[in-house]
Amino acid sequence: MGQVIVITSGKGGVGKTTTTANMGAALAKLDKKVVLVDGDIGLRNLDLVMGLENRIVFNLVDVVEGTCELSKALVKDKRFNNLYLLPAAQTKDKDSVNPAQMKALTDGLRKDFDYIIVDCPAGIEQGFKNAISGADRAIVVATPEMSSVRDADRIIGLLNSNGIKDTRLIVNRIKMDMVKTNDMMNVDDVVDVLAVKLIGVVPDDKNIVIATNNGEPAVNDVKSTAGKAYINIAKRVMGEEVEFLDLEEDHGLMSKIKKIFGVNK
Amino acid sequence: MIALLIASDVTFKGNKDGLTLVLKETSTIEKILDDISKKISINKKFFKVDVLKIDFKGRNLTKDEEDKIMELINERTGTKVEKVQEEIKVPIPKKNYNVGLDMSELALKAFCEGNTKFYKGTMRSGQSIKHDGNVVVLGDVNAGAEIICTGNIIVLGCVKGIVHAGSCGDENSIVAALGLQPLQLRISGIITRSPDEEPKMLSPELAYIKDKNIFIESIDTRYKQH
Repeated sequence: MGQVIVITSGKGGVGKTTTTANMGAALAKLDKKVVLVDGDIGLRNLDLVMGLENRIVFNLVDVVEGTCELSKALVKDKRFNNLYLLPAAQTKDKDSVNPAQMKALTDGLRKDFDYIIVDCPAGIEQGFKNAISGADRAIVVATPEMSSVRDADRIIGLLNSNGIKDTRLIVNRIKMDMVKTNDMMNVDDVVDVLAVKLIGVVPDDKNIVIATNNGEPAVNDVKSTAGKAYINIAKRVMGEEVEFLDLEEDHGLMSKIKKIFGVNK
Repeated sequence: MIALLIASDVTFKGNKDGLTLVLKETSTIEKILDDISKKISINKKFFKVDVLKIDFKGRNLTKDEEDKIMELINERTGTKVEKVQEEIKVPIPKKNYNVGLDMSELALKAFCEGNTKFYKGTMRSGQSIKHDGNVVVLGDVNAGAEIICTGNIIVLGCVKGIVHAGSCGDENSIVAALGLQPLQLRISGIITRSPDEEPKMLSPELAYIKDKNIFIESIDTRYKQH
């Protein structure tokens, strides 16, 4: 029986879609059967980020309206055999689906998949209500910025009042050099305010921008620290205890020289 | 003629909306009117407009005194003078750690039986408690959350949101918390906010009204002198 996980944040642009794509790809890499559901009807992005936009024939709204069967709308990923995408519609909007329909849809996916990951749109309105309706657990994505944390707090409150008690936090796009100069909140500051358990910390990584634009999940890129972080997150989702990456380690030339001369940072 | 720079009780400050008159606090209205009169002849550039918005800073003025000043400027320059609409100012409360306010005094006034709502857990952004009576929160009140009640507010945690005690006019109401860093703190009709610099350490504090102002007092028993 599969688990339905919703990836949400409140604030837009903090990394929900990137997290859905990468966490899903990492779980597939770890041999799990995964389906990614794009909940952002009208502004779909998940298909772009996965590089599958030209393979879409049917979408989520078609399934809900009965135009086609669920299996016909699933797009198989071009890299992993056990990873599928259920795309959103681009020409409709969030009122085309209601929470009950969404729940029936995700329930219908449980028998065939280990993990059903729903990419929630930004906001707290119909799109959000739809996306959380069938979820067993939630992962809240927040960047270490005041506005993102404020919105994440609201979302966690709404998740709790809608019956989703298992919520975890990903702190995304953290820049350790700015944290050191006190120009950015650190992970503890965010966790202090939000008071939920941390499931991952992802550093700001330019490889993500490159990967996203190429429609490739960054988990396949060995150079990407963010990719490594997502693999760890996938393992934690599966219940493993994984140590958090040491993001402070500077791999530049100066630090290598410093190490040779035994100078501490 | 050499203009002697005599210390004036009035300073003209131009701003993007018009003119601010900075008035010396200890001055009299007659000296102020006199100084303004002198300054108008030197500072004609401010008055070349048809309508001038003015604002007063420093010494408080009665409505009568304000009218006199505006009339004077109007007469001397022909410029129509309008007072700038005052924004609602949200001041910072005074900290009163050494006052030695007798807690039993407060106990008689504020802690009367009323029905009390208990909330267990942290209040998150967007959550709101409205209650006729007292409210006790066993957790934090995060920024974006609000509590509005007719009685007292006690928070066994840190207040970062908006709290409004005595919302129906009871000025004896208090707000007490393990850490007070509210976005805004209101008791009855009086509003205050946290100072802009963050405090180094939060300690248990209590807010109350005295002489129409909000005072904050430490309720950490180590500070109390018995």
